[in-house]
Amino acid sequence: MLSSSILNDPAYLLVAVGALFVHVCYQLSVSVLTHLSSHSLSRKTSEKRLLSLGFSYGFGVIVTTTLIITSLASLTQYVHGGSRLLGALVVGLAPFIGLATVLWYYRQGDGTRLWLPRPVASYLLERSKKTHSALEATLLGAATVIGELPFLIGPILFVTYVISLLDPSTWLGWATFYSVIAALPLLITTMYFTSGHSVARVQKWRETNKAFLQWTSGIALVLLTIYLTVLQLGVTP
Amino acid sequence: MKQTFVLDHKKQSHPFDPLQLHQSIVAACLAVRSYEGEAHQTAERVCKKVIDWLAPKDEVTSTDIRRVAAEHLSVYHPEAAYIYQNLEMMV
Repeated sequence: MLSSSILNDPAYLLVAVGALFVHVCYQLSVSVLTHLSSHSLSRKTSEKRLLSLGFSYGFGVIVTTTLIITSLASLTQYVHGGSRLLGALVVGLAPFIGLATVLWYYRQGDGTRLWLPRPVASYLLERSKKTHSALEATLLGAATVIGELPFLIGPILFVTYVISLLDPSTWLGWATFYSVIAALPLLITTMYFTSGHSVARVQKWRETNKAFLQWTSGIALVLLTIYLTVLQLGVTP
Repeated sequence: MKQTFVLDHKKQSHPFDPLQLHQSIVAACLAVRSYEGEAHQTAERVCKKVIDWLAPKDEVTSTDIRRVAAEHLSVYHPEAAYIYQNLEMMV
């Protein structure tokens, strides 16, 4: 049976790892976390409080990503046999998302401004300025994932495709596992800030490497599509 | 004393407020983990330089003020100057 062999198949594992790499390269959640931390530090927030805000924010990101993956897998299963429809969606959409990432992910000029509708970006900036409680931080994390969805849907489609090949009772577990790994940069960045380091260092690193992240994630998405197409052709009888 | 007007990004003109500038510089310094006393002292120095620069002018834009303040702030605290200039360009 295909679902039982997937876990032992390095080809599908490679697709999931590739999707994870692209997901981690997308930077909106780190941008909002940096903005949130910088405003919190300006308000003389304690390290403990900053850690709580950062982890709550990461929790919001993890929960939303997990919900999107499991909903998408369930929806496609319900509508049209699951993995086949997802496979078609991946092959149809991912190359364009990859191309859009290379061309438009970051705006021209200084800083790490992303190509997002300005009202969405302004909303996230305003919310991160006004975030004081853990609940607000969790909701901000959720809003960030939804705001970046036009790009995030690329890697999410890949991982949903791989997960949909597994037994449905394990979907939630695998989706949570993926989301936690994808949110690791957020948790590490939070710990970095709370251990006394400056937000400027993280922001400078991100600004210096933004072209690298943009190009590698875009190209990786296109290459993953080609790889998955070949893989599907090999599996289809 | 002559009043200088500041044209903000919404094209609205209002009198220059040194307290607002002071607060935003203190916020940038605290964000990069300066001590509070140091942050206020730095903000005071930068505000003085900006006020000197504004003295002969009738009207400037808020972007001009941000640029000039960041230039002076970078002398005292380069990381704070970076955050001061880039905070709204993160997302």
